[in-house]
Amino acid sequence: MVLATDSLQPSGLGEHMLTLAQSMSGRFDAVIAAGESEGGQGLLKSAAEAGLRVKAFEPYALQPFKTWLTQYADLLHVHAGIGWEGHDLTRIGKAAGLPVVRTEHLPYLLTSPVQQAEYRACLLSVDRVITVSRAAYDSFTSRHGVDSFALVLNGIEPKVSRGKRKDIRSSLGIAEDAQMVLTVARFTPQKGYRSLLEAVPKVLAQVPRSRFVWVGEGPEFPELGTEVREADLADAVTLLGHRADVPDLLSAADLVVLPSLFEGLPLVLLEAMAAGVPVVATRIGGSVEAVGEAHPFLAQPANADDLAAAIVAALSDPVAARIAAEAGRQRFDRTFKASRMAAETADLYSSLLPTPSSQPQVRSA
Amino acid sequence: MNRTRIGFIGAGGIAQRHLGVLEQFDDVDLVAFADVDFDRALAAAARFGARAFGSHDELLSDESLDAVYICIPPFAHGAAERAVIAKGLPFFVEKPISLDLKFAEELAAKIDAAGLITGVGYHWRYLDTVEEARRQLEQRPAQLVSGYWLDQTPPPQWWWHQDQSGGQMVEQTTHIIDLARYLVGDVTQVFAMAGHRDRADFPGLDVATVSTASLRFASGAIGNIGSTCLLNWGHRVGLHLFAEGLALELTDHDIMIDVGAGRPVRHAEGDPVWREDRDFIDAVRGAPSCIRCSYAEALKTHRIALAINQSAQTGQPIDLAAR
Repeated sequence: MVLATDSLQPSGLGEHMLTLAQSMSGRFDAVIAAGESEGGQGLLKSAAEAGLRVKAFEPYALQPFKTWLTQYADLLHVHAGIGWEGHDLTRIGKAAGLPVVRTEHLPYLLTSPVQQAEYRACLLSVDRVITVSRAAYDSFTSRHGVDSFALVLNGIEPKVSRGKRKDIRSSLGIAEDAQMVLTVARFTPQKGYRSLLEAVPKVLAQVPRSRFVWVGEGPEFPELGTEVREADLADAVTLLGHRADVPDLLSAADLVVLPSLFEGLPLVLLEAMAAGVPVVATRIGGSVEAVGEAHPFLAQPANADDLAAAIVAALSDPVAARIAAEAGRQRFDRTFKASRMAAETADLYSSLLPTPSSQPQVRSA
Repeated sequence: MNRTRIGFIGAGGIAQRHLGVLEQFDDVDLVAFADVDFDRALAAAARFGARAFGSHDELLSDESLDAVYICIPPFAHGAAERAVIAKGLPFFVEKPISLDLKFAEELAAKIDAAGLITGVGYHWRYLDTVEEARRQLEQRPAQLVSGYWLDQTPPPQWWWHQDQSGGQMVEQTTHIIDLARYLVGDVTQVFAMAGHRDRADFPGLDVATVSTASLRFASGAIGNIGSTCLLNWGHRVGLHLFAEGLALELTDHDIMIDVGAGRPVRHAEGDPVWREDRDFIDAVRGAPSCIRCSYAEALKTHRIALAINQSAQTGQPIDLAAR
């Protein structure tokens, strides 16, 4: 099985690929394939460090990769961060004679007629499209019908924090009695940092001991850093950049906030739920699916007042926050474990592969 | 098709040479790479859809393999071979096999006891020109041997240091020593001298920069092999052999056979490393072995190279037949 992406910055998507490959290792031998971009190389390194097989390809000269697929692969599973990614990969997979699966990590967001047409064309080379949330599934099937589409909810293998909460907080300069509000998301407009920045002073007005910690990289990072300083919020907001120790940061946090405008099924919410940390999310498809309709701390997207109110509500009512966190942990265990996602994905692969009797020697890659 | 699963220990320059060949074989699967530099293992793994490891121990414990290529610098030999032998895996190892003769002898005994298939990278044996030389020498055995490795100093810093590379005779000229053994037979006595000049562009270089060894062969033939790394270009690597009515000059890319009718030069054809790797893989896959240099065979060459170093150091001739 080859899990491939040409996404330039496969962050959450890359994590998902690694989780899927590792969780399926009992049934399928997976190779992680990525383009020769900086982000792609980072993904390959993480995959190799996790003991997975890795394959690099040149995104604009895919012929050698196609040859390699023809020789070694049984199935190609393309992971697309957004609808316009991965089309060339699906085409060469089909041309290599392989069953092709494609996972959409976001809902249908294409607005340009050219991109929409390209997407329709791409479906011809895909045997099955996996969507990672019900909302995303609906957004695709309302346009393209249900035939090609499958719903496999995202799942994660929660990583355990190795550090002590007290040490981690002190390394971040966060006092014991402060309320640490953590956001882990790429710095792109999609993630809604701007409404969060606007919400920060409103939260501070009511919960003065709240401290915001933002983790991630992305195009908006420098600008938001400047805006935090200009708004005189540098004492309340810390931008950490990329961090490999998110489980530790989660264990130090009192609340996780994800202010996104749209999402597939956000991994960071699943991680927070698994870790039993209360979350504030926006009322958008994938996020609501993660935390559940009954979740008490939901805000309208791109609405700083509403976001601030939800954060204040969570921080000022520890009992309600604890109950919501426990409900989140149970919900995670029931629905979002990597093992369930891997089993469903593996079943989908099996349905596309030749049966052993018709092809006695299934190749190992 | 059932592919032979190969793992690499060491993913540097000489490993790349073998990878360029092995990737052409459709019965081989390059499945794992270990290197002390993890990024180098990763780069190789990402070329082939393989796994990367930071140590040979992880590679051997985590991956199911049919054979291993060991492509590590001279000073690094030891633990990798022991671990591979303990696993009972056939292996191909690059020359020189070790700097420590006792260790190489210990390994050779273990390999013999386990009946393992081994190959060593003395690829000159696979030159088609060397085969032609062998045919010529069957009728007229060589009486005088004159060998050369007259070259620049290689860039890797480990090469500059006697305790890491073993010096030029052990690291490079060993190919010529091996070729002389292959074409003329066993060596019974060596007497060597060596000299050193500091080289400004190679700070810390402590290997002999010139060395020469006289050899006596069991056949009665005699000869000399000279080495230098004082040049800034490759001048000559090769072996000249003289017999009754025959002068023969071999380099790594051509052969000249002079029987008194001009000095015709013929270029070598094909890639000797391709043939070397093919023979090793075929043997691993169960075909009767055509491997031209096993570990035991390489050990005989290596003994001579180390004896040359010893003689140069002590000023005494070394009698190999007595060992």
